Amino acid sequence: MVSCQSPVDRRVRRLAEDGEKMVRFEYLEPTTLVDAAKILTEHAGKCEILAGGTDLLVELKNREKRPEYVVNIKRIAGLDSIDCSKDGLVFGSLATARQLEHDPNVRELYPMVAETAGIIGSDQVRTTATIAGNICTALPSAEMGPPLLVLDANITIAGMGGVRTVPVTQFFTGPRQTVVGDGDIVTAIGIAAVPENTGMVYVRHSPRQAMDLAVVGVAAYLTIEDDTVKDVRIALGAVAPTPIRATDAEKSLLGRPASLENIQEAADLAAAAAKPISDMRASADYRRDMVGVLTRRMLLEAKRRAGLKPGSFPLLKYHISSDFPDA
Amino acid sequence: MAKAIYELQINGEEYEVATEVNRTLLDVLRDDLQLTGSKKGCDSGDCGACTVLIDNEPVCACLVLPPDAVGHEITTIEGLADGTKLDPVQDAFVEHGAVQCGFCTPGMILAAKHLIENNPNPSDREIRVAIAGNLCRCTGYVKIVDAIKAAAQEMSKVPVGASS
Repeated sequence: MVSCQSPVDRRVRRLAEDGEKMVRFEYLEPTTLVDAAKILTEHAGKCEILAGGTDLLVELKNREKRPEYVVNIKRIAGLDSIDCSKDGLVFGSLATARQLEHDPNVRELYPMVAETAGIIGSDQVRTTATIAGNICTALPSAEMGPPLLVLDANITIAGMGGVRTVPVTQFFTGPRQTVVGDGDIVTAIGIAAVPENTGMVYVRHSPRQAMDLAVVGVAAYLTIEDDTVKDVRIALGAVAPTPIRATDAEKSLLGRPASLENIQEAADLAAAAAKPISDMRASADYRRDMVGVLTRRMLLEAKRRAGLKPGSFPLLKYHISSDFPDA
Repeated sequence: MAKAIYELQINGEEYEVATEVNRTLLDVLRDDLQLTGSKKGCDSGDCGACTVLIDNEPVCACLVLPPDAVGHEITTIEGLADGTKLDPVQDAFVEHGAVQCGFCTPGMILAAKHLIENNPNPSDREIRVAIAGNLCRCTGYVKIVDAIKAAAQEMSKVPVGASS
C-alpha cells in the first residue's frame, strides 16, 4: 500500500529513470532464519526484506528504496503461526492481516487486534500484508502502532548475534525508523495475557472510511474493578514522529473512577501530549483537537467493553469516529 | 538483467514464463501472456483494477513478484466464463448496468466472487467493505452493489433439476 507521497512525486520519479518499472536487484530466497541472517549481515545496508510486499514493491517502483538484494523471507518455515489463548498471544512476523483478523481466538481475546488488522488497506492488501511489515515500515500513522503500544507488546528480533526482545515502546525511533538493524529480522510479536474486566479498542480517524492513512489514531485499554481504573493505557498515532503512549493522561486516570469527568481530564492531557504536524491531510490544530475527542470516545468504549464478557459483542469493521458516542 | 523461468498456473492452465525478477505478476499477465483482462490503474495496490485471485484470495497483481506467483492457483477474469457462458457474477454485472467503461470491472468481479464464496448472503455494507479496495470512477458504485447482491441471491438458489 502507498505511503504519504503525492501521486505527482511518484510519477515524476518513475519517468525520470530508464523506462524500467522497478529498480534492479538480486533476488534471494533463504529457506532458514540463519541463512537469511547471514545474507542480511554479509550485505548489511544493501538489503530489503520482502514479506507481504505491499509497501516494498511500491517503494521499489518509485525508487524510494534501491536495494542491491531483495530477500524474500516467505520460504522460512514457522514464521506464520498464530498462538492465542488465555495465556497470551504470540504471532509470527509472516502472519498476515487477514489471518489475524479472522483467527477466532484473537477475535475473542484481543478484539482490538483483529479489528485493526481488518482495516489495514483492503481485502487485497490484507491477503499478503503482514502485521510485522506494518510496524517495520513504521509510518507515524502505522495502524498497528497504537494497538500494540497499549498492549505493551514485545517484538522478537533475530540476527547473527542471536535473538533479542524489544518492548514496542522502544521499537519506533522516528518516522520510518525502528530499532531493526541491517542484519535483523523481526520474527515474532508477543502480547501478554489480558486480565478480566478489560476493554480495548482502536479507531482510525481519516477522510475516507477505507484505504486511507490515519489522520489521528487512538487506542485505549482499560481494566476496571470496583468502579476503579486498575490499569489504563492510551496510545496515539499520526500525531508525533512515532506512535506514542500518552503517559500523563494514563497517570491521571489510574486508580480513579472511570467517570466522564475523569475521562475528559485524561482526554485533555492526551491532546496536550500530541505533537502533530500540519500536512496535506490535516492541520496540527485539527489533529490535536481530534486527539481529545477520540481519546474520550475510546476510553468510553474501552470502559463499555471492560464490562462485557469476551466474545459477547460484535467486532467493528471500518468503523468511523462517529460510530462512538461522546458520553 | 538476467531472466529466469517461472512456471505459473493460471486459470487451470500451465504457463512457462521467462522474465527478469524485477517485474510484477500484472506485467507478466498483460505483456507476456496477453491476459489483458487485469488492468493497470495505479500500479501501487490502491485501486484494485489489477485484482486477481491467488489460491482463491484476492491480491493486487501489481504487488506480486514472479517467484511469489509460482506454486499457487491464479485466477484472472479470463478464467471465469465457460466459453460464452458467463459466470453468475459477470451475468449480474451485465444485467444490472454495473459496467460503464469496464476498467474496474474485472477487479470488482473477482473481489465479489471472493466475497460471495465466503459470505453467501452479504449485506450491502459487507459488499461495500469487500469492494473497498476497488475504485470505480464511472458508476458511483450503486449498480455494482446491486449486481453483487443479486449475484449472491442467484448463486444461493438450489440449482434447477437438483433432486431432493
